[in-house]
Parts: sequence; C-alpha cells; structure tokens
Amino acid sequence: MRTMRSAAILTGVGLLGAGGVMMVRAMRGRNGSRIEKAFTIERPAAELYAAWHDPEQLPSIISILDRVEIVADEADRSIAWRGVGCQPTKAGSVTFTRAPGDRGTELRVTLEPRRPSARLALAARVENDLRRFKAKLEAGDVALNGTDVTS
Amino acid sequence: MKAVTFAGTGKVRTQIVPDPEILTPHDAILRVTSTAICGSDLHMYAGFVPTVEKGDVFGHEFMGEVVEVGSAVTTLKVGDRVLVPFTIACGNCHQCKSGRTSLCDNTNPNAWMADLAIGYTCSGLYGYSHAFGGYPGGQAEYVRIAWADANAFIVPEDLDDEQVLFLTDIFPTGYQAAEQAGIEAGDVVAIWGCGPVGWFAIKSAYLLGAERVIAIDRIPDRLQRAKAAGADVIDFERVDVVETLKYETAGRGPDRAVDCVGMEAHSHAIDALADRTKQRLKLTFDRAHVLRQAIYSVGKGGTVSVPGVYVGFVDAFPMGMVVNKGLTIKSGQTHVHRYVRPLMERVRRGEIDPRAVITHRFDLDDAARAYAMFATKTDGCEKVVFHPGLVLA
Repeated sequence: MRTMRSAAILTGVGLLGAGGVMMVRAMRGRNGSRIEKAFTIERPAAELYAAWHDPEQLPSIISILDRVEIVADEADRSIAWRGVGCQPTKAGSVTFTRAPGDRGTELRVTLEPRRPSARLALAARVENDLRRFKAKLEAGDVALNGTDVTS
Repeated sequence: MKAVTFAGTGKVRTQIVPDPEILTPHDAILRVTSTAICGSDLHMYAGFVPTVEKGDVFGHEFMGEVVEVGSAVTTLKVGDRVLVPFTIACGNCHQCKSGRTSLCDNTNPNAWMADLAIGYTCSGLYGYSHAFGGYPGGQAEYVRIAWADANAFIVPEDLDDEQVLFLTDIFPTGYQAAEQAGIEAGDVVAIWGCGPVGWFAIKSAYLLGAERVIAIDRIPDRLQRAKAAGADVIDFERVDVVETLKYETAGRGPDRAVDCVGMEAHSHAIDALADRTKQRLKLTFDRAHVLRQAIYSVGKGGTVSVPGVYVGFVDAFPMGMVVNKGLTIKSGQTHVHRYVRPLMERVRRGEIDPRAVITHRFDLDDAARAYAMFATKTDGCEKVVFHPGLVLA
C-alpha cells in the first residue's frame, strides 16, 4: 500500500515537471519567513567586511535597508544590525567565511521581513543587490545590456 | 546604424536602430568589419529560444575596429583590429580564472532569468536572448563590447578577417567538442551534423589524433565538404546510422560520439516524430533524436560530446544506456577565450583554413534573404558572412 502511494506521488511529481518542482521549492524558501541569501565572492573576507561594517554604507549594498544600528560586530567574520524606525526588514545579519578550495569568501545574509507576505519580493531585491555587490568587487562593474532594467 | 533584428518567427529585418554607447568604463565600441550568421541563430529565427523579443539585434560572431574605449580600458586603443568571443567574460571570477569563461558569474545582466531556468546562470552572450544577457549582437554596423580588456583579441595584420572571424565561435566550438570528447590516438570518432561546426569538429578530431572520423548528415554539399575534410560519410536518409556505425567499426562502435546538431534534429524515426509533434505543441523544448542515437551507437566506455544547442528538457533520455555502457557525457557552451590564441596559431601555420566553410557573402541590407536561404539551405547556403560598410561587387 505504502509503495503504491509512493509510486503515485512519484508519477505526479514527474508529470508536474522537474522545472516546476524546482521553482516551487525555490519560492518556498529555506527557512520560514526569513530571507536567506548566499554568494561566493572571489575576495578575502577582510575586504568584504570593510565594505559592510559601516552602517552608513549598508543601505548602498542592500537597497531595501534604510537606517540601521549595528548590534553585533566581529571583525572579518560577522555583523548584525537592527533597522531603525519602520522599514521593510526588522533586523539582519551577514557572515563571512572562507570558501573551500581557495575560492574567496562565502557571504551569507539573513533578513527578517516586517511583513511575511513581502518576503518573496524583498528576497528577489536582496538577491539582485548581492549579485551587484559581487560583480562590483570581482569584475569592477555591474553587467548592463542597455535594454533591460536590472535594478 | 543598420542592424539585423528579430521580426517574429521566421523573420528578420535590417533596420535603423540607435548607435551603441559606452555604458560602463570597461566598455569599448567596435565598427563591425565582418560578422556571420551562426547555425544557432536559426534556433532563435525558428522561434525555439525563449526570451527572444522582436527588435533584438542578432549576431554573436563578429570582429571589427575599435572606435571608442571607456576610461577603464587599458589594453585597447582606437584603431585596434579585434575579434570578440560570443561568450562574455569578466576575467576575474572563479570560473573565468579557471578558464571556463562561458560560465562567468558576472556578465549576465538578467542572471535571475537564467538562474530560474538552469539553476545557475552562465555567462552573458551577444545577441542570444534576454535570459542569456540581452546584449545587442554584432550583425550590425557597430556593437558595444562589455569588459573589453577581457574580451577583445587583437588580430595581427597578416591574417585577414575571414581567416580569423570563426575564432569567435564555431572553430573553438568544433575544437572544444573534439577536445572534450577525450580523443586519443587511434580513436574512431562519429560526428553527427556536417554544418560548419561539424566541419571544424572533423578537422579538430584529426588535429587531436583521431585515426578515423565518420560523419553523418543528409545534405550532399555538407557530406562532400566532410569528405574533403578527410571523413568517411553516412547519409542518414539512405542507410541506417546505427547499423552502419556498428559495421564500419566491426562491432566495437565508435570510441567517441559528437552531437553537432542539437535541438532541431531531423529524422523519420518514431522518437523524432514524437519530439517534433511535442515541440510544435510547446510540450517539449528539444528534439533530441541525434543525442539518443549518439548514445545508442557509441561503443562501450565511450564519450558523448554535445556542442549542439539544447535549451530545455529532453524527453525519453536513454539513461539506462549511459549507465550500462559506462558512458561519459560532456557538454557546454564554448570557453572561447582559452582557444583563440592557440587556434589562431594553427590558422597562421596553415594547419587549417577556416574560410573553407564560407559559402555566401551578403550585404547587411539583404539579411532577410540571407537568413531565409540559410534556414532552407537553398543554393548550398551553409555559412553566410556580412562585411558591413563594405560595398560588395
């Protein structure tokens, strides 16, 4: 009986199509209502940390941030902040860890949206912001094609 | 300026569009002196590549003269004659530093689209859909080059445009196809598709030590050209490919199989008819008859190399054959940058003359006719080159 049901479920999943399944999983996110995004950047942790640890500069990296107050700060390793006033996210943090195989630094950002329903839209913005940050550090420029709006 | 743009399924037109501009300090602008239509342009022309929009400028094989450079460009100056790989590299990410420039992390402005479609984006490409970058292509009088220092290769004066133009794509593509097949001295290599990429793959297989190449197509001109390149040929409309390969290799099967056809395979086999129907109904992206046949035909422990373009999902993929015959499958967009200089040297030494694949030269104004002829292979049209700004006799 159990096997039959598994088979039926498997067939259903197969019909839905691998792409659809993967997309739905991506949209559901990894961890409830929090936004979690990670990028590997071919640069030392100290350089990433230097760009992030100034509270004045943070909103220029993550566009959905306004004024922030740093609540924890460990040099070259992690920073945590709290949003000041009413803004789309209540709090957030970033960690910098050495990537395996000499591939630079793994950057992981966590943000807590004020309204859970806004998570998807905010997550897309944050992903785009982090991609731009990576491109600026690695390639000196953000990719532009002159036709599509990308920010 | 004049440019060749997509005008709906089966249509392109030559129209006036705004001149390209420097958008970042790392850019350069080229006056295009030579550009070609690639077989892969036909997949867009036929409407099979998602996120191609009307008005998009086509063209990813081009070269020209630098007419403007951004303030951060250090290795180029106005007047330099350069060729430009179709895959755009930033030169600094982990993939670029590892020589896998077609997998660059940073050059696709629409990376989110490609992330959604394939998991992780590949590099931006010129003139090849918005999901792959949305960069205007080079079938035009001028084109903007992104990250010019990493992407423009100076062409020495003793080599003319048509000798080096195909270093932008199809020569490295055919070469990488043969190289990633892992060809060893004494190998028998089967190559499906004898268009220009197939021709370069045949030549490259021999350069890499293959003892015998068997090439498969149905178009007489192509088979003739493959023969001239040293291959034995199979006309798949006349004989059974699988049986013939088995017989020709005395029961071993070819050591390496190369699919230079991709998603628009032609065949009358049952799987191919099913693919064609599903593709028309938009139920599948890719007609993978050649890929299935290559996997079935290749000998035990062999390698299947896939330079042919596939965009989405392949139905009825024969995984059991892959497992039980112990096959290796290699694919990828071409890491053009790593091949430009070594292959340019081979051209200069006379080991290969890429001009052999050119069958037609058109004025940019006649692009609609050129595409129509190329798509239908009318008049033996296999490779079209434009020389914008040059009046053809």
